[in-house]
Amino acid sequence: MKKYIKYPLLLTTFFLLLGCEEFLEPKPDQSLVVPKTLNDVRALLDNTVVFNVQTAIPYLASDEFILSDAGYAALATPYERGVYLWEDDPFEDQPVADWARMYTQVFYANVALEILDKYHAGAGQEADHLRGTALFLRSYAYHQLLQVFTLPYQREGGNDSKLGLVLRDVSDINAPAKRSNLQETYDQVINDLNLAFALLPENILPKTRPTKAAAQGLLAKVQLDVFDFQGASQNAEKTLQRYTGRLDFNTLNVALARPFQPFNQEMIFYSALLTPGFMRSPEGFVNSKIMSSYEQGDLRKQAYFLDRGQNRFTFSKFLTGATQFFGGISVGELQLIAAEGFYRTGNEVKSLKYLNELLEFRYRKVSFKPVLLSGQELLDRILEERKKELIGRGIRWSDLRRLNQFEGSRIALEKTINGQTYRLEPGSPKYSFPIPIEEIVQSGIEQNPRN
Amino acid sequence: MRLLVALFTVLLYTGAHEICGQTTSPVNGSVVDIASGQALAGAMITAEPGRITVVADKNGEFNLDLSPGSYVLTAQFLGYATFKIQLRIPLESSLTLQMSALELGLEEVQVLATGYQEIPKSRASGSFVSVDRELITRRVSTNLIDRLEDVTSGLILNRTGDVGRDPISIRGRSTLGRFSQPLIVIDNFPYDGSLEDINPNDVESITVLRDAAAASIWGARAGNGVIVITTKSGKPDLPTRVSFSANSNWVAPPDAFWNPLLSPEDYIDVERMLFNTGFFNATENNPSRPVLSPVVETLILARDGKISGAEANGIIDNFSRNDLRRDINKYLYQNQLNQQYSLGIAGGGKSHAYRVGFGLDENQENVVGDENRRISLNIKNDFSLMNDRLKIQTGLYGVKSTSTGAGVDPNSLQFNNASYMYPYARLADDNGTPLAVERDLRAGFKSQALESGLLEWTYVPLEEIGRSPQKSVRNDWRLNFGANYQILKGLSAAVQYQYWENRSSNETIYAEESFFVRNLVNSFTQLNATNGLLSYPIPKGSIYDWSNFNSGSHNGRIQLDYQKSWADKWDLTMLGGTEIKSLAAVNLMGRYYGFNPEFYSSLPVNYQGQFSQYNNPFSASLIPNRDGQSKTTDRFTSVFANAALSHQKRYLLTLSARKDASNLFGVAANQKGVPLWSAGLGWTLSDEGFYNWNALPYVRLRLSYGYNGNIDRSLSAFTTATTVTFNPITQIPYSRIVNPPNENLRWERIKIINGGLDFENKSGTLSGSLEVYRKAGIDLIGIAPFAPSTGISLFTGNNAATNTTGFDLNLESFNLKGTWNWSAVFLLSGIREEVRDYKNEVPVLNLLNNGASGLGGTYFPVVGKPLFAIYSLPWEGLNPNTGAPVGILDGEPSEDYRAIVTGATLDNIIYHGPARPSFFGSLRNNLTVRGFSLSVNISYRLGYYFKRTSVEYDPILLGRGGHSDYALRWKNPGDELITQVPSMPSPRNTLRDLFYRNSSVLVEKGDHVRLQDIRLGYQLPQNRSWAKAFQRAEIFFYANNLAMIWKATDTDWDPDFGTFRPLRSLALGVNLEF
Repeated sequence: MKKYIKYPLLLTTFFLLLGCEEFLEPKPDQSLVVPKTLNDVRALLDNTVVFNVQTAIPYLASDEFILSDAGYAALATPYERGVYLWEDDPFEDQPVADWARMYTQVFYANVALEILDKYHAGAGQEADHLRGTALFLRSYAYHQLLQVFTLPYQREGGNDSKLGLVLRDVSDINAPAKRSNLQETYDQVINDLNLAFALLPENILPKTRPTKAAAQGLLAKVQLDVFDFQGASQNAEKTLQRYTGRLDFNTLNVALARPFQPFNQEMIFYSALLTPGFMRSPEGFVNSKIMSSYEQGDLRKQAYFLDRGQNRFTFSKFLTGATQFFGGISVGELQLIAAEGFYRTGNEVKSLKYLNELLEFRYRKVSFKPVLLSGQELLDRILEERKKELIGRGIRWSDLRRLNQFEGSRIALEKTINGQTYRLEPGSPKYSFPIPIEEIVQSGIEQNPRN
Repeated sequence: MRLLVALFTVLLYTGAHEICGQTTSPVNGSVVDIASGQALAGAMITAEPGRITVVADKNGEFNLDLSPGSYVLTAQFLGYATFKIQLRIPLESSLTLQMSALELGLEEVQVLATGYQEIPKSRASGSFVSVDRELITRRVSTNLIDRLEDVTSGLILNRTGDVGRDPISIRGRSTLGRFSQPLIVIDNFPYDGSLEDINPNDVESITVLRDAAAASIWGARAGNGVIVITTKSGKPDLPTRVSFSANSNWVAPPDAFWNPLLSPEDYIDVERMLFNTGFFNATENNPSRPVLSPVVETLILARDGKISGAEANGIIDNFSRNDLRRDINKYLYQNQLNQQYSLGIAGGGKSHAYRVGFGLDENQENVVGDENRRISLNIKNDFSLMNDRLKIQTGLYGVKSTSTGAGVDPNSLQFNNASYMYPYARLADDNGTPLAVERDLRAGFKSQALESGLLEWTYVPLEEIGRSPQKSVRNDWRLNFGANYQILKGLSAAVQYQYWENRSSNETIYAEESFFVRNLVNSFTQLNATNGLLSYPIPKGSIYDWSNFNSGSHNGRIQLDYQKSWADKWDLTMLGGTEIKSLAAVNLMGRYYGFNPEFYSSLPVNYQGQFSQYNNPFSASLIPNRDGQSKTTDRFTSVFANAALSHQKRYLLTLSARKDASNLFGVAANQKGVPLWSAGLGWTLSDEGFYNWNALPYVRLRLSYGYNGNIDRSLSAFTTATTVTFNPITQIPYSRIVNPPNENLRWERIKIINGGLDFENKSGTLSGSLEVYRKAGIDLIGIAPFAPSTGISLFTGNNAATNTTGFDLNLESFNLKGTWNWSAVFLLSGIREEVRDYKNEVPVLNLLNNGASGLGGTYFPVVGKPLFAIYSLPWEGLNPNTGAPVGILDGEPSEDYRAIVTGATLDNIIYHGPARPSFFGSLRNNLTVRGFSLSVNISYRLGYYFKRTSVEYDPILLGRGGHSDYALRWKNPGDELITQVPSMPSPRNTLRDLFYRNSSVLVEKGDHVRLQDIRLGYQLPQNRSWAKAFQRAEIFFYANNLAMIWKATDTDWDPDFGTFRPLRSLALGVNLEF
């Protein structure tokens, strides 16, 4: 009977196992984690598929790139055609990544903030850095959404009666959605950026992670949106003092197909545009007006563009050093914000200083002559440099929204396809794109008027 | 222990003393069936030496007078195994010879296996369907599951709906989530491997558990029904018997012309038209040199004056005479030939029985160069020790499946990444010499590259055959051990254990000369601008892709069984036990570049650098990295109990319960477990004194109620993130949120009520059962669209409920008995499914586009409708002046497609009906005469709809080809009388396409009746001298997918296969036993 002793033994082992909670402890999938630690939060915020991505609509809708008829005919989605020609119903009920992807960033940021509040409420440097990062990234997403899905901030006021964004402070997906007003949205972005600035580190790599300079730089951009030229110029200046890296285009071999290095000195914060097929179309050419404004000796002409002959150029070389379209925060943009901000607050000396600091690194050494303009001519030059320096980043669209509110810089956009001309008037309600239909259906928020 | 004795148990009551002085002594005995104890009248008993023969009387009894001494007694009876016993005469008492029915082809006592116990049909209150050997062997197929189709009441192999994720349904679909497949149980334990690894020849029986009383013992995994498979075992007291079967199955090749594509002429016409509008200018001027078709290249030459217009027309006319599909039929498709062999050796003695099974499947697939092979080995031993008190079973089941592919799939002949190959491509010239076709990049660019020192870049499909051999090997092992010890009379304890392991490996070796390697090496070739030298970030040499999937599980179970009968009236059976399971799976995959098959060596590459592409230096790509790893662990603990109490075999009460707990991620421990239970009643009405309906002497009623469960293991109650190690931008790993928090996550439950009626008429010529059921899905997990501003667009949670009602009717009749035997089996299942609760309103556009099958595992439930349903927009014909499709807007005919589409609501679209059959079943007639048997199965599917596809102009006008209905389009006024296919729009209009694609004119009824299959067998007569070597010998023909008898649609569409057809097959086989 000795050999049957093993059965009771086996039986006992069984019941021991059953009683043992640990048997059910192993993770069902080894790669899964319920994020709790600071490392977990860092991993969430390091998600460059979610973050460091921004809207493409400003690129498609502005006047920087002009499609040939053939290029238009080859566009694959209603979204691309509809946005390019500012149609009344540009999305034809299709999901719109520009909206959904930005709100995914908001969601991730909120998840991160909640974990930090719940498990890491006490201070601590890394927790602060992460809290600052989440606040910065959420503001970045809101700032992107503001450019596309709300009307421009009104210089003449009344922003508390204009529709703003759905602001979300919690990750709870069942929290009701309601559109705030435009003033509230900007207030929240500015407040969060101030908070983030206080928490973020001076330096951290890679450039997909925000620093104090990035927060201050974004603040300057937002302040430019809301016509706070004082704040914008000061913050731009401080950012440039804080971030001392500069990229002199003279050091580049601009003849190369990819002249820029990834994460080069020009970049303060890395973010890239979503890329619908439109942006890769070989039939999308740089607006010849912009192209012709690049002067002799301007290195950017070769550093950014591919000459396709017949005076046609495509935007083919990107600051990212890869195939992504750079849209983040750059030294050049802050120099131009500083130049414009100081000009508009009466400090032409500083304005010229920042403009020339930029141009010195954009022109061949031999052909660079410092700009010595003043008054309206100086402003015009600054705005023209914005077009040339910041092309293909979606910034032109924000500038149109902003500059259309100044007497004298109003401009109507025109695009011609198959002989038919389409116009976008300054101040048109079409400067705010409709909220995607699935959002309206699911949350019932108010739609933007298109007419 | 005698291992291979004879096939019987002898009950000898030997006396204490010999009786002497008599010349002969009487030997009294009887012959009975070993399983049922039924007397075998007419059995022949022979005693040797002396060759004294008697025949058993109508009670199975016989008498022999034999002199004292040693004898061998042989008993023979038709349909039973010959039986021998050695005896010493005289005997003190009578003798019982227990004979075993032959294993093949004969009806056995119906026992229902649940995986925990075997219960006679008369003691079941739940809904079981049993598929016996005869039905399993009726059909010829490599796959086991195919053999259940149209012979298993209530079970359907889905041809519509999300077939890839949901191939089998038992009584409809009980979940809205992705885990919709029945639980497969093999030899008492859930099987985690692939069903393709089960050799049907090793299967003894299959029981399908359909309701709660039958399946709730499987608890949280039983929600979609359970299929219990029992493999063959040896039987005690059975002489060694060898069975052998072999068959060859020829399957007709597919026809490439079933694919509804633009004809070469139409395709060329479109290309010419697009060329004239300048459509191809963008591609032509594209600096990344994308490919242009030969027609466009010819037109460019003509435009640029390099050839004359007449020359161009001549060249293009030649193109139009080619047909890619003709070449595919000729060079790439072939007959499928499946050969199947199986050998079984079984036997048993008093205390030991064994079976060894060996199977070989050799399949030549229908694409040239593709082959499959499966070898299976099955060894089972059963020991009976300690006077039958201890029974031990051991089993070993091993399968090795190998499939090899030549790497040229006709369906993936791509022109570029957006379009299929142009239809006038030629695979070979008139002499059969392989020809190059255009692909990916322009021919001129490719030849320039060759001159610049790059590898040959042309693509010759037929030369690619065998250059990228794919091989996958699956090794699947199961080891079983079971011991059952009878502690007291009626009480026994059992321990069972199973180890399972599956090791799969897939590899593809792309040879250096394959297009895949040449294309990749060339794309990454770097040109140094200063010195003009070429460098190769992807080294020349083969590319070796591999993946390994290894999984293994331990299953253990302890179980107590108790059985008691008392007062001649009461019978009680109870079982209870506990079970534990642990399954781990590790998947690894990767790629070697610069692989040298001779030395088995490879070269490292730089996965982090961005490399310019040779055809487009402005773009930059990372070297494709296939590295991947994953590890998953499933843990379960369960307790279960089951009891059945019957009174006078007339009243039956059953109870069953199970509680499971698992390592479901992020769920608090108290939520991990879910108790599921069921209760059932059985009442043999015809046993009641008051029952006196003579026409129907057997009537039994059953009723059951209870819950089954279903699990979605991908969900979690907490915010869960998964780590992604590949980050091309920063090279820093990051995490991705898999699901947002869901504190209310619960397991799905399915509440089932089942009523059953079993009956048989007086003569036994008609019997059957009717079952009616209602299944309510509660707390079902659904995917709900969410406002994107929440951060997610789709949310998965317990937000849905369904209701399914239906019936299953099963009728068997014996129409003729005697020399001619004619029987028929009629199966009819009716089902009505509807979503009862769903929290979110699904966009109507999703219903129109994807209501029939969902989209990539996302479904669109509508309250009050089945999950898979056909919806359409009302159709008002074609505009007689323009041929534009006309719809309805606000009750008026309209061509405002945008308004029609955006204005579509559930109220103004048409709901046609379910996308899956409401009624299905089969009628199977069996005719036997002398040795011949003929079985014909007619199957039917009724009460459902499908949507035809038709031309969409958007891809056509983008130069990507399209649907062959293009040829039928409206061209001139008047055509609207003969066609419903809209005219070509100008310009492109996606909304017009969308309207037509979803208009009611394309909806058809799916109802149809098929002549599914015919089996003709001939059993060699036993009395012929040349057949004596065999116990049984049968040859048979089997033909499948024979013909459509009737269909509701007038179009040439097959409701289940579209423009394609089920492939006809013809098999020839033999079954031998000796």
